[in-house]
Amino acid sequence: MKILVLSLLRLGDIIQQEPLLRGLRQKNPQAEIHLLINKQFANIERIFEGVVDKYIYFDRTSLQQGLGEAAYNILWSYKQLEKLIADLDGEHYDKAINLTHNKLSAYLLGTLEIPEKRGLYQQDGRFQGLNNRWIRYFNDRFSGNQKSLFHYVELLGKGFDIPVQAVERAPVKKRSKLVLLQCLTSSEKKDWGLERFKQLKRTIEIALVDYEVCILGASFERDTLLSVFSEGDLLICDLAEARKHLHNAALLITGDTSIKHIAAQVGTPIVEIVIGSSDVSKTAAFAARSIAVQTQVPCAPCSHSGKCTQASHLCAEDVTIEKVFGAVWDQLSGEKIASRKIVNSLERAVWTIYLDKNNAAAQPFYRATAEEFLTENSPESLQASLPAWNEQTAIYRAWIVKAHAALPTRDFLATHKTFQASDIAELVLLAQDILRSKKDEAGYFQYFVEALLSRFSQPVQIYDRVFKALQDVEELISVREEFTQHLQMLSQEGVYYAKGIGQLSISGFEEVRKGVQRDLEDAGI
Amino acid sequence: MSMITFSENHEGSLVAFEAGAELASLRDPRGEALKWVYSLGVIPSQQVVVVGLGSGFHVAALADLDENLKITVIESRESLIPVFRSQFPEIAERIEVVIAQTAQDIFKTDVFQEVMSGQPYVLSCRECWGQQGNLFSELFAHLTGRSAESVRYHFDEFGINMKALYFHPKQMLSVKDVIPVVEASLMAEKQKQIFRVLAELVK
Repeated sequence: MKILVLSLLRLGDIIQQEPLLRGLRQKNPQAEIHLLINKQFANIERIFEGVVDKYIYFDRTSLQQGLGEAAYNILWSYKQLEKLIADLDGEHYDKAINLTHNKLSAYLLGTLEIPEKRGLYQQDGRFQGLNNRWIRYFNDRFSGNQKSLFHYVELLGKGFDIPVQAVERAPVKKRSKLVLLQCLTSSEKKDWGLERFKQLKRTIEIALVDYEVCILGASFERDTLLSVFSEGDLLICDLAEARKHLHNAALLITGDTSIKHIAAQVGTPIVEIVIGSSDVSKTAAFAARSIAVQTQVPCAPCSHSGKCTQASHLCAEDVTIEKVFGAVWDQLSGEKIASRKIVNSLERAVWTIYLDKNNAAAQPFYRATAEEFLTENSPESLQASLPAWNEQTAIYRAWIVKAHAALPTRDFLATHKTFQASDIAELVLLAQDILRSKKDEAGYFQYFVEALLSRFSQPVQIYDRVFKALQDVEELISVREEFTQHLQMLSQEGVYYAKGIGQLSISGFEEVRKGVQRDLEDAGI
Repeated sequence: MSMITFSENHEGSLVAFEAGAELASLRDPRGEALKWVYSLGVIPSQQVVVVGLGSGFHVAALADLDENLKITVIESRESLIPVFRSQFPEIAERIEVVIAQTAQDIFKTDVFQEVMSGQPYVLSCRECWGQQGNLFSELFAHLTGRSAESVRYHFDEFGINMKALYFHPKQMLSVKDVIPVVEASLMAEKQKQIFRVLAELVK
């Protein structure tokens, strides 16, 4: 089997996709895997050893030069691209997986003659490949502002049925005492500031005297780093060398960089400073041990393009050295990192059940998910959070009842030639209430709100879209309710077990033992 | 046609003048040509077309840079050619000079057919244009397929409807301008998809 993987994003994204490529290799040990990447990231080859059989380069820079510079023939880039496509078709791939999920990659995959295409592609005049709920969820969450409950890598893994797992570092014989700082990112907006890193370095060295702190950097960053740090502090290296340093380190402290994804691959604990345009729900490292120190300023995360619009770098100022050091302490002290909030785990479980279903009629896997949930979370913490969780469920149920009641009937709308906003005024008000309440962080009602925002030419179209969206929301809320019931049942089983058998008094058994013994008086007779 | 004259500089090199304006630096024509060649960066094809011969120093510098490079020069001033051949005899055989008196003349030449099939890099050194600025600009646009008039030749294989492009006859076109026409045309879907990929690259 020959598989082509398209990864036409930036360096950090490609490195982040490493667990997916490893999972793909694990699932298809005999397959020939080819990776199409942007030519400027050809240095990635040394990082993906043993996973990819062949690298194919998309020469974006040359193509853009050919399109932008007048000296090139207007069709020069066309001919180059046509040749690349012919070369790719000449490989006769059996399957293609598009990890890129943008229009460029969709069009490119659309041109290729490959029998099985997974992920976004354009064919027959429309975008295709959003054929399962996981990919649709990925598409909704990563193209909009709504936060995702799942990591980017997890979503693509589920969407393409590729097993992925965050790397947990194997115990090392000698405990490392090296802390690495990756101070510079690809954008000034995401830089915490060299002076703050310098103070953090000093704080770590004073508080944790046996730890050594070094600064990681690429050769082009040397001069900038030398303006604050001394030559002896620096570890100037390429990606492959950085991987070795990270492997030997106890901790990496970084902004939103590609280095953090390499640290995640080798299992090095990470403290990530999330400021500027970095969005922890979208670009965080896929790591078992990672702490994100996030800014709370309202303008973050800002957009990737454009400069910071604030008078000063508010988000960087908001993340104090004490906050970052607190996270460093948690990681280095080896204390168990606080598990994810239980509500987040509950939401993830509900959405996993929903997204795992191929369609509305499919049977959901409540019991297995509930059992898995209870192995990761204690029944006590569950019982403590259930009242608030159930209250939330009741609010969602009330919203959906209200939405159904406010939706005009199809017959009513069919009599209208033109649509009037007043026809759906109640629905719009309800959507506003939902958004304002900020009680739907997981996005149960996102489809409903988006349906109201969509364009339509006929009044009945609004009914069809909103009705379909409400059906989806209804299904989600039903999953939530039934999952909660299963959880309660299973956790109660545990309590009954504990109360009924595990907590039986020793004297109880003694009584039983007494019962089966011969009565002494009888014995006397 | 304006008068072409030549002056010998302190190095003994002949520098051409058109209507009194020099077609290369009189003081240092070779240095100017070298600077131009180095400013080009990596040349992405094995054949180049140079619009304007002028005094010929830049063409000679280009030929020196890569002895395998096939160079074709488009010029309207025939009187420049004999002096160029005598001043640079070592490369005279390598350089093909094609005469085009008007911009439309270029469409009838064999070079234009070669340009359409091989898409060579098209170069120009403005210092040697003299009074021919408008003509050379048009020739440059025709050769690169970036004039509305030439697009129909360059896009001949796609059989697309070019009428819409004539709304901007003076504009240097890019693929972005061609995309709406491509979408409205009856060309193969695969070809359209390639143009869509390119359109994403110029966003």
